[in-house]
Amino acid sequence: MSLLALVGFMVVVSIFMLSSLRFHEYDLHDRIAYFFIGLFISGSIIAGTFFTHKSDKGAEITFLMTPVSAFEKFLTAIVIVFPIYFLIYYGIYYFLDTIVVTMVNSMQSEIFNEEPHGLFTFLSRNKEGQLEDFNTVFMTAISFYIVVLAFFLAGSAYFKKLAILKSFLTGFLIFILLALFTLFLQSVFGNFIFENMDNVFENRADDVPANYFMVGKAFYFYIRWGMTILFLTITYFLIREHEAGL
Amino acid sequence: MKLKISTLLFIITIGLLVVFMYLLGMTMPSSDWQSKTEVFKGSKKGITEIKINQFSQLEIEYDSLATEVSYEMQDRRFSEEVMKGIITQSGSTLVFENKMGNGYFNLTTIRIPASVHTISAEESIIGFFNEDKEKNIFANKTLILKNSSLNINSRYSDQNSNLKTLILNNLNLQLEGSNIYAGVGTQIQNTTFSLQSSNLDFLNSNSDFSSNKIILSDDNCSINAKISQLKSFQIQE
Repeated sequence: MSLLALVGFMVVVSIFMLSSLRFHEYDLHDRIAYFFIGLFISGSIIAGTFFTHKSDKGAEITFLMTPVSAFEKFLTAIVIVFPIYFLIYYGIYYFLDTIVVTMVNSMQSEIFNEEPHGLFTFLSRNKEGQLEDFNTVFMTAISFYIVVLAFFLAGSAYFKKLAILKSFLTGFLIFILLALFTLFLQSVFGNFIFENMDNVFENRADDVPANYFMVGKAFYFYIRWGMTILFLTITYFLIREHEAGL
Repeated sequence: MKLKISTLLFIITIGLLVVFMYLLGMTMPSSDWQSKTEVFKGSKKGITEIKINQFSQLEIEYDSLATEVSYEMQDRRFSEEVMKGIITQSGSTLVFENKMGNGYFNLTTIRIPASVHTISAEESIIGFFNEDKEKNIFANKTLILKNSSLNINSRYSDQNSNLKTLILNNLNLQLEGSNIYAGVGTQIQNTTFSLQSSNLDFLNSNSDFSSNKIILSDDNCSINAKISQLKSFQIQE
């Protein structure tokens, strides 16, 4: 049902976009941006509503009576929320994008006679025909997507009712608190602490002191992967604790 | 109350985030570290690019002979120009302050063009004519020479290359008590020589001369050239 709703939503958005789009406004960079915006929103909804059985007694009994271990339930959640949903989303997006691209190409003005847009890909070519490096952007976006999903999955396993809304509010609250903490650190250390992080992201070790570079790298790694692993572990323990009636 | 493992893990997750942020703050480069002094002096290059990482204040001691300095600041991440201008001052030290705030604008390119370049003593012009190595063309400049001697010769332009010609195009050369010697392989086009008690020697230059002008201000000038070369000159007194 939720998948059908997602397809419907994407179709409506596509039609809405088409009605206002011009040829130039649908280049590959924009399409990749649309892809990720949709992926983040819909993925969060899928993850945030995965364990909805707690609010429904019938579903709750079925969930608890299912003769599989907590770990197997957890693995199922991971497989569905991460790779399977991504592939489904990619497939739907590719299909809709192909339709939109075909239509946009047909709208192209004969005066400018530009190259028609190609099919959706993460590999874009610049005017000289060389491949632009989207690998880093893609990997960064995907890794942050995984963290967000892991957070919403944990939220869905924790909250009994309105899990997605409560997860969102919790995330927002944490964000505000961390922002305040950043302000505090700024007043203590005298500078905005993330000021030199772009040097860390882009591996310019010579441009920042060695210890800042090292901590920055570790921080970046922790946000991308450490937090994902921790949120998923939390999800697993929440399922176990729920089964044990804690 | 017994603490659940999931709650404990959640506290650890957020706690680690806080610890990392604190460590970042501790190791954050201080503003002293960002303050850099770059010294640039003695060069006679037409254009100088200095790439500087984050700075709060930048001092450039530039060639006192250059009278006009243009500068551009670029954001390294997006390679966008964010600030540019021209500074003309008599001193030899320029001080730039990063007023863009927070050091977000990382890359700075300072261009010091020798659009007006005065050579006050006998100097080599290797760097000065070396603006465009590929084409080896020196164009659209004013050069003022006082009591100087200048050898224009392609072999000075880039000793490591096999360039056979040096092309001077649309130049304004103002000479006062100076000598110019144009050697083998020098082409001179659309160039004006203003002479005051100065000497020109083109005799050994066997390359093309065209549409040039010589303005003579006094009787103490001499021109040593072939008749075929002189045909390219419009001589005024």
